[in-house]
Amino acid sequence: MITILTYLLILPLLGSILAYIVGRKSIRYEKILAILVSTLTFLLSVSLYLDFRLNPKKWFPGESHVWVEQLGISYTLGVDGISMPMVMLTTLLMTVAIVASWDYIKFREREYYAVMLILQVGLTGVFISLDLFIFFIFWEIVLVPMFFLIGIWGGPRRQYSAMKFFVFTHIGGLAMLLGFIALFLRSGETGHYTFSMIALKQLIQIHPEIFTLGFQKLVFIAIFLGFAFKMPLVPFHTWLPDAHVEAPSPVSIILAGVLLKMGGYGLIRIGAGMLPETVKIFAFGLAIFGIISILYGAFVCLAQTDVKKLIALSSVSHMGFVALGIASLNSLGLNGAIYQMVSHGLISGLLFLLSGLLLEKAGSREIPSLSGIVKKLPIIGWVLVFASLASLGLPGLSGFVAEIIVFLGAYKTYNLLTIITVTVIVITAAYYTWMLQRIVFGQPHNRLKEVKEHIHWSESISMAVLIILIIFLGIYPAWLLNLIGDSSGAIANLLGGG
Amino acid sequence: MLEYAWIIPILPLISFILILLFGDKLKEGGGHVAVVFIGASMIISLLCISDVLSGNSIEIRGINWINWEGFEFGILVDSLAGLMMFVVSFVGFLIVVYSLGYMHGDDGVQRYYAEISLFIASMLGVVMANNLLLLFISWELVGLCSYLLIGFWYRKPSAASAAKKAFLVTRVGDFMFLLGIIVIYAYFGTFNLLELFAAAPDLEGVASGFLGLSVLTLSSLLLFGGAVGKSSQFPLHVWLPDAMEGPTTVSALIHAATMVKAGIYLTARAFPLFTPVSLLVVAIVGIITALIAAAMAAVMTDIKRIIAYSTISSLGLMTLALGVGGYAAGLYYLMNHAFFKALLFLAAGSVLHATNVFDIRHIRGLRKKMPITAATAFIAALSLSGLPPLGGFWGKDEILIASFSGGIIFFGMTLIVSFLTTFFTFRWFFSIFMGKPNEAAKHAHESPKIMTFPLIIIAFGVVLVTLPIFMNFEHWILSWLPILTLNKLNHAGHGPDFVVPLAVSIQLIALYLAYNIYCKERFTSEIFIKRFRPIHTLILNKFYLDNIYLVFAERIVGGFSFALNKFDLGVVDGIVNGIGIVSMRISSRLRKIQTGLVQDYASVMLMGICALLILLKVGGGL
Repeated sequence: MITILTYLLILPLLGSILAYIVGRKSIRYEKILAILVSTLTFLLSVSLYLDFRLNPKKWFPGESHVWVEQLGISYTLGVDGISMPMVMLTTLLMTVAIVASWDYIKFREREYYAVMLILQVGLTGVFISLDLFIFFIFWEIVLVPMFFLIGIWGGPRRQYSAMKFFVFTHIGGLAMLLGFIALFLRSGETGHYTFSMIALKQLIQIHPEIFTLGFQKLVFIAIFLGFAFKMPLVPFHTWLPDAHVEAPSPVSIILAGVLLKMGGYGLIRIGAGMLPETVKIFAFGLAIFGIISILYGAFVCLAQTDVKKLIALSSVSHMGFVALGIASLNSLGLNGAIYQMVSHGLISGLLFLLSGLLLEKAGSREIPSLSGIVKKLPIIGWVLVFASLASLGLPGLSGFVAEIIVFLGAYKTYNLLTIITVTVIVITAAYYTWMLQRIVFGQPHNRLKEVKEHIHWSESISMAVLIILIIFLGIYPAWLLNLIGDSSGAIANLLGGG
Repeated sequence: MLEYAWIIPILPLISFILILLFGDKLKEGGGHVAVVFIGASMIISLLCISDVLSGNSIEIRGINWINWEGFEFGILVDSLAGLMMFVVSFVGFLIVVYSLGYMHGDDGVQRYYAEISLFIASMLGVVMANNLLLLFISWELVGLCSYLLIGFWYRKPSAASAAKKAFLVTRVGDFMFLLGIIVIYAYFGTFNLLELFAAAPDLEGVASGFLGLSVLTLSSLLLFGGAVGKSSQFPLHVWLPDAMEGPTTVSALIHAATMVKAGIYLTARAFPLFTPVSLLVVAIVGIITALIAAAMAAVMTDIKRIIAYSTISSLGLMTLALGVGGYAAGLYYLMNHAFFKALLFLAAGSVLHATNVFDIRHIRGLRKKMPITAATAFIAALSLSGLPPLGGFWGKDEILIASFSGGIIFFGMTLIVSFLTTFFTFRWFFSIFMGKPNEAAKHAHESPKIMTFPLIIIAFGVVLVTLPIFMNFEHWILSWLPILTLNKLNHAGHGPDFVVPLAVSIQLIALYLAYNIYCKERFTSEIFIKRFRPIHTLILNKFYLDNIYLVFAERIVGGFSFALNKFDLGVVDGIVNGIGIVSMRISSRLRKIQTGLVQDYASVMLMGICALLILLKVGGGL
């Protein structure tokens, strides 16, 4: 039986092929088609959400077809409270990114939209696969379109950045694959080989003599590398600023908004979900990785002069919260980690959208060559103020919710370390308000003399959607936390914390 | 009426949304919308307060924010909240009305009224929250509005810089507040204020494991850290004087009458959590703040900055009062201060409107030209100075008595503060309004009615808020406190008889000095300045605290982040690129093995087989 889950994959895939064909006739039609397809996919994910709320059990797994029986590979898809927000985030941000590309991408559009939709297939696939083999396939599918998106439509150093991105995440991916294969081979010793996440999880629980703790530890280290490169955690992060600086801003939205979440999601789904004992053992190390990322990212941001690089590095800091949340080993921490992924997806999406507009309208992203933009570009200026405040964790906006929940969870496990980490709220406030003081306020820079603000409808819509969601999730977090709650609670139980 | 109290903060919030969305289409940028909504909110809150005055209180638990135990957000209206609601909504409303005149013609009025509405909504949120986390959220929104309003004239670099400074310095306090919240949740498992206070006695004496502090001491000190930032206490007081970059109405509303009271309110609200150790810290911070700020107010020459420093000093006194157990005295002083300080600022705004001279040495003798401003300023100054008969006197009197029970050092320092306060208040007043009119004063005119009318109203307010001290104020304000907490208090009027006469005579000496120097100009302050040159320089340079912080921020934090960035680019990224380069080099060497000649491959293969056979032989495999 084919369910919505498969349609979530087929629709953008067909859309991609169709867009490529239509693009031969008219680029305009291709754009409309791409927007239509991504919007439709988003609506599909909303209908999935509605059905999921009514009947969550039905969707885990939602559908399963045997693929290669001898190797225990099955095409198993499903969503739970952890992947559901990720799927909606993906389909939403993909729509936003495609809409925002309307006025931004000005050459080779035909390939661009086709590749973007392929990217969506990979991203959605990662979040809904419940089989390690197809999880890996989707994981790798994501790399290829992203490589081309940066390498073709990127800035001056695009080839270096695209290659760096590819090599980095590919190395991580290979380590992860080793871990998966090891799990698969061990599963054979229990009688039947399998890649299924659900089956493996049970096997690991009931056969501790086969899946010994030492073995699990090795597997965890392998898959951790894959996820750490992706999130990214310091010191595996250096591909990120380069990739972002070069990537076109709609691609940056996806890169920061969704791609990084693959790492956090994997860490929860496969790390904490399947190998909880090892996560317990390595929790302290994971917390240290998280805390170093949080503080390191924040301090490095203070020294940046390129707005986009600053935003990129702030992602490192914010994704550190995800690691710290997971390492808390309790449901507050886990909830916070997932909340942070959604919230950061929205906020960084908005920030990258703005950095693209800044380059386009003001002609620069360098802090010293911008000032007083709010006078000349009032909408961009004030939305940038809003997005910066959201990113620095202003209460009433989504980022604060994630941070406070992670802190509350983390303090229970690591009190002194958490206290040290909380200092980040001052550093983050410092680099954002300092940036605002220099580029948004003050007298308008000479280069802005002739500038008139003209915001394309596609950009206005994209910004409005993100702003509304950031406010909604900041004011009424119970909505999303109810969605996450049961699934994250189950994993927290595995980790031993209520 | 109390069950409708939740409407009070909602109304200004609606006003904020309306003005934000439609303000550009309305007259005065939606200023009238703000007046109507904030006015309605004030009327409801006055009705609620009259309920509270008759001894009622209410807690409404509304929505659960994250569906987790202890996160039920709602409102709590009792005597303490009622007092603050009165101050915030009444003073706030009058200032919004005054703004209609003062901000007329500014091209950012829409933004102004939107931000003012949000400010009043969030300030009401702070004082009415039933939940510590909701209080914190509102608290941060208040900080946001302050940031936006200080930087209201954002084209001035100094305004943008002052806004950032205020945000960051108070953020340091918020960092401690947030830590307090985290610690409290870990031990109490709830954020509900009443539940916290009920649970506090059970945690008495439980060690926290940090610096040997008990849980209660640690968490109350952390909360107080937030208060230190927001209420501009030493050592985080440096942002308030700079915050005068905003419109004068903003200075009056936020930086004198209401926002800076949030910290005092937090300390008063969380009072049941405080232990003797943390109260001692509170008292010490309070008296240091009061003293150094009073000293700075006595030497500064900017008309608004003098008031700013006097605000810091007054806030210090309120903190001191709470610290030494003069709970009712501190809050009574808070209420009076809100009125006379708002009046003082609006009078200063009126003077600036007429002369545009900021240096008090360059304005003289304005009383003839601006009689209403002068008369209302005198009422405010009289109350601030702490001389009889207005509220400032009664409040300071009670604080002095309370400080006496804190020990002779507190008492002595409070006396010095009283002396300085009377001196700088009349220095300010005499310099501007008395003496012979100079050039600036000759061309001045009294401000328009839309500005003088609120001055008169608030002047009446200053007189009226004196009265509660004669009407069982203490009993009423203490009524919400848990019984166990009451033991920590010093009740009013239990000091030795000599305190009041002593204080008044010291203040009269200060008045005499100020009168002779700044009114009659019989002698100048130069003789004192010469005598105490190093101290004077030290105070004039604000004890070099700003410089120290600047060096810390730029050299240490900034330097560290630049070094870390270099490390990131050079070392971390360098290793990555290094690996890339090395592997390319290696592979370009290895490439040479692939000669393409079959003979080479065959001989290498043969060598390999031989090596394998030898290995197996040695290993015993054959």
